[in-house]
Amino acid sequence: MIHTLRRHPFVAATVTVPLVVALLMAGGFMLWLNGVQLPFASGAVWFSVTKTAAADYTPVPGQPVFILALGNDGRPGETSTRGDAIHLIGVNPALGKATILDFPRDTGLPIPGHGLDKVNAAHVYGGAALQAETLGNAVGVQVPYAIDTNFDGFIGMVNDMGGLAVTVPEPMSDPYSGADFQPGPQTLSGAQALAYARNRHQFPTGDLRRSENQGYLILAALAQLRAANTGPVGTLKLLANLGRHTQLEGVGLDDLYALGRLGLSIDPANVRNVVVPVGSGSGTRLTLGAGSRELFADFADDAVLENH
Amino acid sequence: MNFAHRCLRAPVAVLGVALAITFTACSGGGDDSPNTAAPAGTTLKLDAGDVVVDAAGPPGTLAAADEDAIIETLRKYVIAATVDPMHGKKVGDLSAVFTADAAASLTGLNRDTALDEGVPKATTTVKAIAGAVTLTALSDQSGAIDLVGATLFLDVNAKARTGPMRVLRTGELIVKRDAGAWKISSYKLSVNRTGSGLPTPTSSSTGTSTP
Repeated sequence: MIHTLRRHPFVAATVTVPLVVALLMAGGFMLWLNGVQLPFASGAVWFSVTKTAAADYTPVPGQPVFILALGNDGRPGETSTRGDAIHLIGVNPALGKATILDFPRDTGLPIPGHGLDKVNAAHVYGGAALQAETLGNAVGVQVPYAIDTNFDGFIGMVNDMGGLAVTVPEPMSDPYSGADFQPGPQTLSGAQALAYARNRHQFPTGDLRRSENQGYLILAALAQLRAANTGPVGTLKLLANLGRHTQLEGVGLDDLYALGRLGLSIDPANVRNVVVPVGSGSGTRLTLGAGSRELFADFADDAVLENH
Repeated sequence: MNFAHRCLRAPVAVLGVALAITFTACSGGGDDSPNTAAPAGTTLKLDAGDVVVDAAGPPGTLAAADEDAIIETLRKYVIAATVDPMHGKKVGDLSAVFTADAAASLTGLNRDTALDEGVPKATTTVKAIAGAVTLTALSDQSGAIDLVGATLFLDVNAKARTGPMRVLRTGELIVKRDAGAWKISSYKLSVNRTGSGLPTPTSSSTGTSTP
C-alpha cells in the first residue's frame, strides 16, 4: 500500500511530529513569514503544533487519540490562510491501528461562531484550533492536537528528511502544481513533494484524489521514519531537530515525544486512508455525501474503521 | 541522502558535556556514595557515562543534581527489578521509579521483560554491573531539560541452588521530570535470562511501553 503511494505530499510534515507523529503542529508563523525572528523556534519554522484541548488534557494511555494534520495555503507575506489539506488522524495504540480521514477542502460544515461555510475557511477565522473544533464537532470526537504547515514549511521539512520516497503509480503532468513525474519509485525533494501534493487538475475527481494522495504521503513519511528504526533516545534527538523548526502552542516537547512515539508505534500497513464522501455542490461548498455519518461513527468509536 | 543520518546528526545544539561520576555500592560497607545502598549480599555498579544535550533552542545543561537524581532512579530500578527478586523479595511499589503511565504499562510481555519476577533466590552475592550509562538530554525551546534518555546494558550474575543464573538486560529508557522527581516514563528493553529455574531461561523478549 505504501509502495503505491500515488499522489500528494502535503501532510507528511505533520506526521513527523508525531508523528511524527507521530511529531508534531501559528501566530509566530506570521511573524516568521514577515521576516521577524521567532521567540522560540531557532530555525525556519516548518510547522506549528497547537494543543486545542484544555491545558490539563492528557491522553489516556491506550485510548484513541485524534490529531488534525493541516496544510495551509500560506505563502510568504500572507496573513490570512486557508487550511486546504485536511486530514483527521485517529490512532488506536491498543490495537496498533490508525485511520486517516481525508476531507475535501470545499466540504461545507458548521464553523463555531461563523455558521455554515467551507471547512477550509475555519482556518481564516480561527487558525488550526478552530478548524480542529469544526472537524471534531462534525465527526464526533475531541481533537486535542493540530499540526499545521504551509508551502515553505513543508518543503523545508521534506528536504531535511532527505526527500520522501514514494512510488508514483501513473504519469503526472500538471502545469498548475508543477507535478511532472514518471511512474515508479523515486525520492521527491521538498518542492517535488509539494507539487505532488497539490496536483488535482489532471484528475477527474480533482480535490478528492488530491486529498487521498496527501494521505498517502503521510503514510510514506511514517514508513520512512519507522525505517530509520528510531528508538526512544533517537526520538529525543529527532525532537531536538524538530523543536528548532516548530512553533509550539500550548504543547511541550514531552507531549511531542509521546505523540512521536505514538505515531512510530503504528505500522503503516495498519493505517486506512479514506476520503470522506461528499455529495452535490456547486464546487464552492459541498455537502457531506451518503454514508458519511456512518463513516464518522465508525471512526469516532475507536479510531479504527470496522465497517468501511 | 540518508534520512536517519540527516535527522539524527543533530545539526546544531548538541552540547557535549561529559561528566563522569562513578558510584559503587557494595554490600557490607564501603559505599560512600549518596545513592541508595544496594541490599546486603549485592554488588551494584551503575555509573553515569557521557552526558549529551540535544537542544531544541538555546543550549541547555543538565545540572549535576539532576544527573545524580537520574542515576539514582536507575539504581532504584535495577534494585527493584532484579536485585530484590534475586534476594527472594517480591517486586514492590514502583511509584518512585516509574511514572503512573509507565507503571500501568508493566503488564504481560512488558512486565516480563522489565522485571525479573520469579527468579530463584540467590545463594551467593548478586553482582549487577551496568557500566557507564550514557545520558542524552533534550533541552526544550527555553533551555529547560525535562526528558533524558538513558542507555542501559545491565549484566547480573549470581548462583542459586539450581545453578548459575545470568540476566542480561539492554535497551533505552526515557526518564522524565515528574512532580520534582525523575521517573522512567517509557522504555524499550530486551532481556535474556540464562540458567535453570529462570522464568524464561533462554529466550529474549522486548518490551516497549505504550506512549
